[in-house]
Amino acid sequence: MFNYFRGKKAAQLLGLIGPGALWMLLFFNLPILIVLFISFVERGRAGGIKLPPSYTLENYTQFFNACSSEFSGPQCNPLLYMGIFGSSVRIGLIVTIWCILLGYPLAFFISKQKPIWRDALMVMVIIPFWTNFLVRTYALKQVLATEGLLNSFLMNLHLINQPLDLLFNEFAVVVGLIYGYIPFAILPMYASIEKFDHTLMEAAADLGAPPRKAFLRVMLPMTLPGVVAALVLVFVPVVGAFITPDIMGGGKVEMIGTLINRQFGVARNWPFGSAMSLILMLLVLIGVIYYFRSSTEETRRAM
Amino acid sequence: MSARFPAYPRQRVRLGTRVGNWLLGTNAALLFGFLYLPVIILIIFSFNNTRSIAVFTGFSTEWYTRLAANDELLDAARNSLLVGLITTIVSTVVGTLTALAMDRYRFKLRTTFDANLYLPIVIPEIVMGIALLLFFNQALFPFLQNAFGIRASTGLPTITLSHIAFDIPFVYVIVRARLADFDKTLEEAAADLGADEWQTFQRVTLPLLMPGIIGGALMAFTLSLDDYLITAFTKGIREQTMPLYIYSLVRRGVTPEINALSTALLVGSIGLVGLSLTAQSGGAVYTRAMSFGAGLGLGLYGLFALFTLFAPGAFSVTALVIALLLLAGLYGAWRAFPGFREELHEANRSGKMLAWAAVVIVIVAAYLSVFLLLY
Repeated sequence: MFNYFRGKKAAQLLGLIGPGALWMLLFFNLPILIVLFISFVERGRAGGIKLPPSYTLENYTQFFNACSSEFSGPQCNPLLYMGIFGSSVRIGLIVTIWCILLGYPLAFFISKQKPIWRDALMVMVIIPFWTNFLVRTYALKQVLATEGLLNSFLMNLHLINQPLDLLFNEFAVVVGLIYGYIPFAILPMYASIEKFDHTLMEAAADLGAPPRKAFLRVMLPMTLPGVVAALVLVFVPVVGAFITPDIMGGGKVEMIGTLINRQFGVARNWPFGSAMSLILMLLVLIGVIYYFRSSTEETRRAM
Repeated sequence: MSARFPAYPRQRVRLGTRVGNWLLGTNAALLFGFLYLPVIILIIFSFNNTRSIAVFTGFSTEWYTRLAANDELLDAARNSLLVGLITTIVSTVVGTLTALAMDRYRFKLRTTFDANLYLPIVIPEIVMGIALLLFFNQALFPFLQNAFGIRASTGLPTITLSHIAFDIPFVYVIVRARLADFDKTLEEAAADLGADEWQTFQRVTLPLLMPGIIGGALMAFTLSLDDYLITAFTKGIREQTMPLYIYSLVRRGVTPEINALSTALLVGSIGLVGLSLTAQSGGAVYTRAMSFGAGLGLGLYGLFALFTLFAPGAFSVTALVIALLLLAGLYGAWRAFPGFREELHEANRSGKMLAWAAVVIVIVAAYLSVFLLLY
């Protein structure tokens, strides 16, 4: 009797979870394993992989020393790929810091409004999430273009004599990434700040703390989980971004995303692209695991 | 002493807060301006009558009429819609089943599987894109070729398979959140009243989960419709989707046609957000409003299609069958209406307005979708 019941329960569970598990295994886990496999084989002469596969660590050594490949020219910079990785991380950090510096005061401002305004402003923060990322990036590109609105506005004011180069450089990519990802920073910080009891600041003032000290010693530590969440939620997608550096950088700013993409396009070096994807994935997972360790269930659900 | 306890601390704080408030307000205004001005400018210049993106010279809808005559674009839109609809249906069903299983059952490797479902959301999209590219080209296609002699290549089917794979986790997360707030005593009450498991599921669990399921479905649809990167890695040579088409235009430069197309997309996605947020805010009235509207939209197109059959030389059996199938939507709307009216009765004023707005948006969306798919 008991065994029969257990069997039925197991069948139910299998019926419910089977399709999802199968789909994820087939179209997510297996593909990632294939990336792992391909990152350890040699590339073929005309792209793809060499058949029959011969195993090598070359794709990883090439990442740390760009000159180790037989295809590298005489004037090669051994730290080329490490440098691109480094600059991606640098761009990621700059963007994250700006998002937090601008987003925290905004989240604080929103939390102080009357409930009806608060909801309206939060909807305004959420709307960009749902609008096409490509369209938003294009909208910004149009404003910053040489013949765009910002340049013609500044020229009409006679502040500048010739158009500024606002596009296709690192500045454009950073602005584009802040534009794209700042909502990811505002939401978790707002969730933290909204729960913060503002009378604590008055208590600190009554006890003689000047505002700056009260903020640094009371409010910031208590809303830190939101700031950490913002850090991870912005940094993780920004480091691996492809669309923004491609459109705003116009091929002149290299980030990990564009570098990986090139290995599957013109460079036709799938094994090296696979190795870099895995390194990127590892970098991102470290960030995410840190986030899950440091945050509580409660702050995550507030998202 | 006086250093630790300033003589007029309160006044100092007040002056500080006044300047602080002013700074906060300015920061908020500037940030919202930064977020919204480019999009507003984009919309304004989509109505410009010259190609300039800096000077507004006059109002015109020229760029929109050009869009409507652009076959390449219409093809891309049709493909996007087709992929989006199939993706939404499959990933919503599978994601909901998975969420139910994870909520109701305890089994080995449960937490591992849970983490595995979150992975596609957190890893960079480009990694998932190349993983699928390599999977299709290096594993699945060679396997099909060797085992069954089938020559397969990438195209709309591979795009759809991939979209389902990244949408299942999103539906899962949204439905799971809804299940976490679920009052299980309601199911026990149904069982006490003599309902069997299936009846309980159908009459109690499913209606209560509906807002989460619809919210998840709309999210899945939006994500599928907007996705560029994974689509770019799994696309075939010929077929395009909307984001692929826009990307190719954007890389070439800045033109008013892209502005018009972007504005159309923005209107579409804002409609979807509105629907999703109202669906998730709870209240059976919204889910009923949406099913009523969908039935009406499909049915209206069915009527339209039926009329066009009478045009000379237009009659075909397929067209008749499609028209009749769509007319079934009217029947569905008729069946859904009493429930909708009942719920509407209990809604407050703003709830009523939102519900009717949802009906109108869904009618338009359903009608336009069928039009584009069958056009």
